[in-house]
Amino acid sequence: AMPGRSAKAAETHEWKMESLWQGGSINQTIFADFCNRVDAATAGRVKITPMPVGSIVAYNETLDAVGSGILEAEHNGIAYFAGRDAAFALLGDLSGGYEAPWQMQAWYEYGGGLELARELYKPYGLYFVGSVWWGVESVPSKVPINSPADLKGVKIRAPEGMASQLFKAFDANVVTLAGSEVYTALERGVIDATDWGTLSMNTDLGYQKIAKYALYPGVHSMPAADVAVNLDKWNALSDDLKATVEMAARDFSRDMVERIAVQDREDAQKMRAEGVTLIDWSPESRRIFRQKAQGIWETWSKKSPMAGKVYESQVSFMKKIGLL
Amino acid sequence: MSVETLTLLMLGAIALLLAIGVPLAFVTGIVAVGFGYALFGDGALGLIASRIYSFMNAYVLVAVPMFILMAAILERSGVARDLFKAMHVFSGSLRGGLAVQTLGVAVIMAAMTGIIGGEIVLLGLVALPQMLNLKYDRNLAIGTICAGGSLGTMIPPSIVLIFYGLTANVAIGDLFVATIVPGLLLAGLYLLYILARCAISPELGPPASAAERSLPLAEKLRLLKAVALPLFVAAMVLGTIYAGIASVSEAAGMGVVGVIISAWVRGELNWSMLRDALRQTTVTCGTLLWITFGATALIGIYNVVGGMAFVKSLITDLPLPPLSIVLVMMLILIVLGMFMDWVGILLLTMPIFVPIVTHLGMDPVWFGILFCMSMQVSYLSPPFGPAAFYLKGVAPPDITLQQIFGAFWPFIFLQLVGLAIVLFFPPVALWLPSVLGAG
Amino acid sequence: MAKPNPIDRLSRFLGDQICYVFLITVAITAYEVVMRYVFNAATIWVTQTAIFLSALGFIFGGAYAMEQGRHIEITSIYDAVTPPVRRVFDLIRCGVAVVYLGFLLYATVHQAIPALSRMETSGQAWDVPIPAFQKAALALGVAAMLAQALRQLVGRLAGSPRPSGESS
Ligand code: NA
Ligand code: NA
Repeated sequence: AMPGRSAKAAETHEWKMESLWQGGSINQTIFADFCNRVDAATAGRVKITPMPVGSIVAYNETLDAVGSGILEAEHNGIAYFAGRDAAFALLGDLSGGYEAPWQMQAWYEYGGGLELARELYKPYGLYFVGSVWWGVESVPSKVPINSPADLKGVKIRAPEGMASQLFKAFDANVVTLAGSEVYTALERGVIDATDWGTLSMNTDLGYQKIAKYALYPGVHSMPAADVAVNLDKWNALSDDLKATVEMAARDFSRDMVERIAVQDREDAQKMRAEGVTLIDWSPESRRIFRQKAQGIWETWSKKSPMAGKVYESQVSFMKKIGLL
Repeated sequence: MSVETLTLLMLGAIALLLAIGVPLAFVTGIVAVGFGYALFGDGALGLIASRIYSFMNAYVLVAVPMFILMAAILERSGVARDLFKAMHVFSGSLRGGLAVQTLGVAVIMAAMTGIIGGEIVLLGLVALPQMLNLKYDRNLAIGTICAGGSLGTMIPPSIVLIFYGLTANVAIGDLFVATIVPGLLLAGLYLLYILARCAISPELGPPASAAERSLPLAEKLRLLKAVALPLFVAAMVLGTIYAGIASVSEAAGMGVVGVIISAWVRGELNWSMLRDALRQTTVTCGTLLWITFGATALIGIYNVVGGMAFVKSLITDLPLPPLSIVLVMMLILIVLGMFMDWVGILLLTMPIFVPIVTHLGMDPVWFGILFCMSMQVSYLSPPFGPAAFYLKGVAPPDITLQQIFGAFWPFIFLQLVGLAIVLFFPPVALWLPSVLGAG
Repeated sequence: MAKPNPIDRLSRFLGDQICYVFLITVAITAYEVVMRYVFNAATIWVTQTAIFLSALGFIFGGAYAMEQGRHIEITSIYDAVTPPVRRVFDLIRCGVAVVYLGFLLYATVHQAIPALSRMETSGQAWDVPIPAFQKAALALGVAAMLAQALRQLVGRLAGSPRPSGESS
């Protein structure tokens, strides 16, 4: 810090913020747009430098990095921190739960989610500003999976806890495989299907060339990312800046969901033209899947007191809007 | 302090410590710790610990000890010696024949491994002593092994291209197809170089002696039997990958199972041999991984001080035609390749370069191949040359690191020629995908 | 020959025993391939275990490689200078190792303590506290290396020559 700086200069906040996105991806571009809008809306008083995944610390280490002040902020997958507290898993990706991002966002904003998230993040030294979705994920597959029953025996790669347990509950042959191994493994037939990203993320990597089916819109996963700031850095903001950043985060989520959805739809048409069969599960299949999923959420809810609170809150909200 | 000044200070510190003879594992580490602590205090130390911890969790690293173990067992059993004896006899009167065959083995192995290191360790343990025994020129032998072994990431599968594909959002399958011709082009350049050198100076690669060539047929067939077991091992690895039985890293484990079976069939497997091979694996891993731990720490600190912004400032607003911009990018990659390993370079530069390349209307698949080729150079270029470290980890102790680097220059030149060919004639990379993509 | 120094013995013991992790990794990898391909029943534990075991080998291999004098260095200038200069270089080399590993020990201990106190798990389907153990192992491995570095520094200060094999 420079001695004798003016009060005006003291109002400038510079944050390095690491995301979960690869440097060249559309998601990182949307994230950079968010940073630019914060800069513009605060007249340059909050300057955020967007950093791609892994540039400062690894994807699942940003929580500690922000808490200890190495980074000022993060925009990361909430479920990546499931090893610290099971509540992160239930808060970040209620596998098989919601059907569209707006439903889960409604729980965050009007069902108590935001308060629970802030309570969960506080002991780690972070302020949870808001959450960002990017749409429902899609499963590229070499075999048709038209219903939960078709999962039986399918060699499917799933990295995350709840999703993989869910597939296993339907007798899938769930394979744990590092991200860097997935493409070659699917191409060679080590696996039949894989959890990856949204339809457009999968298309960018060329999955449609090796897998002629895709679950779209998928049901197993709809992850949320956070916008979270080091607690001291957040408390250093004046109230107008806090309100501005919170509003920008809410707009960021809409921007991400809409832009990815448009691209997904474009890519869906292209894929159909290339002979890929897109499989949309029936409401009945989704209901069967969600019922089984609830049992798995419940086992995770018993792992910690916070997990229990997050679970109870979501289940009661889902009942209210008719999902359960 | 500006990032330009910091960059120079860091490079100066690295050079000075290397010159004094500080082990590489501690050079990058102390520079990261020193600059990080001075600039950011405790937070920097947390960052360094976090990066080192996370780095170990890359699953691809599991394949590294597997390939080293495979090599260590092969070396201790007679399989490798017999294989090279057979290759030497069958190479007949061809000058440099054994080097050519080593290159051939390297290309086949490149289709088995997708990482840098495994192949070099294997060839270094197995082929280098044999070539030196048979009076091959030391520089030619070292260069062939390290340049040939580096092809592991030029011929698919390739971890470099997988990471590039994930970072740049480019189809990995297209990259794999596109890299085949440039990979074979590099191998072809090495081949021509070996043949030309040995034709001009026959003492560099002596052919099999007249006595060896005139062995009776029965004796030659017996030698051929020695080749069968290594082929079995190769089939274990390649077969499990291409038949869709094992992932690339798992296949390395299957290869170890293969060499253990081979040694057992030959009656050479025993506990003390296996234990020694495992201990050598541990020492080699301890040596190599701690070098990369330091490197990963340094990259983290460099990114915090604004390394990305610095790289961006080098490239933006250049009033140059598109191809020259790519040329400048290649220059940056090659300079960075002297001091950093490829993962760090990828994370530092590709988020900046790929959008520019795409914006200029050039093919990101082609650029990915250029990146991969520039990383071939980075494996060999001093002072931070992973290929040299891998070989040094297993070479006879009397071969020094500076001798290893000294053997690289002709091969680095050939890599630059290959890079220039793909840079100025993109169809070398893009023709094959265009043919296959249409089908 | 003098009895080996206890720190040398510790480093060698660690390396001699830890090396079996790689054999176990081979065995469980083969098990995974057979279970998945033949019995259509992939495991949920092999990948995480293989990564953890390899990491243990990398971590404790560091002190082992130091004891064996196998860490890679560039010696062209070192070999060219006079013995008194060489002695200064030696002290700098040992000092650098001690300082780096000292800071690293501080950092890795501070990383391990919170992970151990909340028994940080992997958060995956096989939800086990491997991250907590691995962070602790890293701190222990660095401690072993620091001990080895201090022992080499003390040896140099006492004027003993570089152990054979360390120069290459
Ligand atoms: Na390869
Ligand atoms: Na290099």
